[in-house]
Amino acid sequence: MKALWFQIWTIFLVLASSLLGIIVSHIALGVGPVSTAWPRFGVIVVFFWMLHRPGTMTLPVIFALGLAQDLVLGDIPGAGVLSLVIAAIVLDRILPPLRTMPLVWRWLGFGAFLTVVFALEWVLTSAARLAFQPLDLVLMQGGITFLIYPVISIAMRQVLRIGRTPRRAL
Amino acid sequence: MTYQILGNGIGFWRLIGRGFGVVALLAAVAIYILGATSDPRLEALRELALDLSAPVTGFLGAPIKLVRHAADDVEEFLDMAAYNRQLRQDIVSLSRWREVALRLEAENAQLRALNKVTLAPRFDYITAQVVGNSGGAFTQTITINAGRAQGVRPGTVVMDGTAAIGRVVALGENAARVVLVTDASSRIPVILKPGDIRALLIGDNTGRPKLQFFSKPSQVTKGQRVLTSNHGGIFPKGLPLGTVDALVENVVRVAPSADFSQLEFVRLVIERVDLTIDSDAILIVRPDGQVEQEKPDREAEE
Repeated sequence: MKALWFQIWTIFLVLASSLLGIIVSHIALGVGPVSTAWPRFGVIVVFFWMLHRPGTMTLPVIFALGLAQDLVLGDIPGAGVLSLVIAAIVLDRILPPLRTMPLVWRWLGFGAFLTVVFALEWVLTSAARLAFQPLDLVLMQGGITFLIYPVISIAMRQVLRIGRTPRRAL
Repeated sequence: MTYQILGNGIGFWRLIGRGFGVVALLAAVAIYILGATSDPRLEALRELALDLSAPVTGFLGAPIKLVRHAADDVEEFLDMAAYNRQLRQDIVSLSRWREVALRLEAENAQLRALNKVTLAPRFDYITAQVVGNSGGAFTQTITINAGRAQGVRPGTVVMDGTAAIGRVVALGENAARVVLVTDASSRIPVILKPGDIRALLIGDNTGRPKLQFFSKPSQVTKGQRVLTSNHGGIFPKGLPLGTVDALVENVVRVAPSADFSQLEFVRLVIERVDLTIDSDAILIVRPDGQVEQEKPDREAEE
């Protein structure tokens, strides 16, 4: 029974934090080109759960979150979803060894994931609009998202401990 | 239980998981194709996302905005001496312009009186709060907390108070998405004054959109005002957009009049539908400028 509740709690945690990440990315902190200085929290949260709760963050869940992100952020519907799903498939092999590695390696793994996501999004958006999209804004937002990953990762690790039985002192 | 796929043993649940993965990938491809072709079947989903996300974004954004305002206040405080100098210069400049405006207003009133013209207001305005932005590097859009219920329609022009900043592209019941003039998909027919040069203002996701397709390319100079021309039929004529800022390597850039970094409230220009004139109706213009139509009673005539 306890295991079932823990499973439900995990699913709730994964979905709620991912949706929160997407919505926080949407907050108006100044609009126009200035908005690109705001990181893409949704991608960070999706990668974090892919790494730490792969059983919950499956491809259909990534698809649903990617679609929500595209619809909320007003991007071309499908470009973000497809990028996330393809990046998840491509990097599926490198994730299991990363789980037990130190933060620096997980951060680099996130860098690879982010590069694939942003590169694919750039290609797909350029193809849909029949014009090359400016690269500087993509690099700026990608850089800021990459830099903030350790902070979010450390905070999320604390969230991950909620509901777990604390270790007894020997 | 294991199944053999290309010689590799694979568990039943793993097979099901991979099946869902393939379905998710195909569904993502299908949505991308629909999105890239602007298929109207996605509109319902967009409306739903707008209506659901706008209030949550507004609620979550409040504390973050508070922190940002505090940081802005500190920055302004530190730059107070420079601000004061700038304000004094602006006051001198504006006093001159005030004199010009008063003279023109008097002249305008005289001319209207001579022609006995009573102008009815063609547009109504409503104010909305900016609750979200695109948050992406590929689009320049904002989300506002006014939608169909408040009389907003697709294509409604949005201003920051003085200058046009974009138009409504997606509509929910109580929220709308506005594509900014800086967005890469934005194309606005404009007129440059002085000189009456027609051109097209093209957004490219940078802070300074470019101008192309001039009617008189040789007469373009820095400092000319860029106004909407109503050639596209969406933007009313004469709304300010910005000024010609730079001519670099044959690319003319415009400095928008609106300050996008300080955009919290916007004004929506709603065209009055009650001014659609029935061809058989008699138009009555009241002294206060209100317009009414008196429609003939067709049944009684028959």
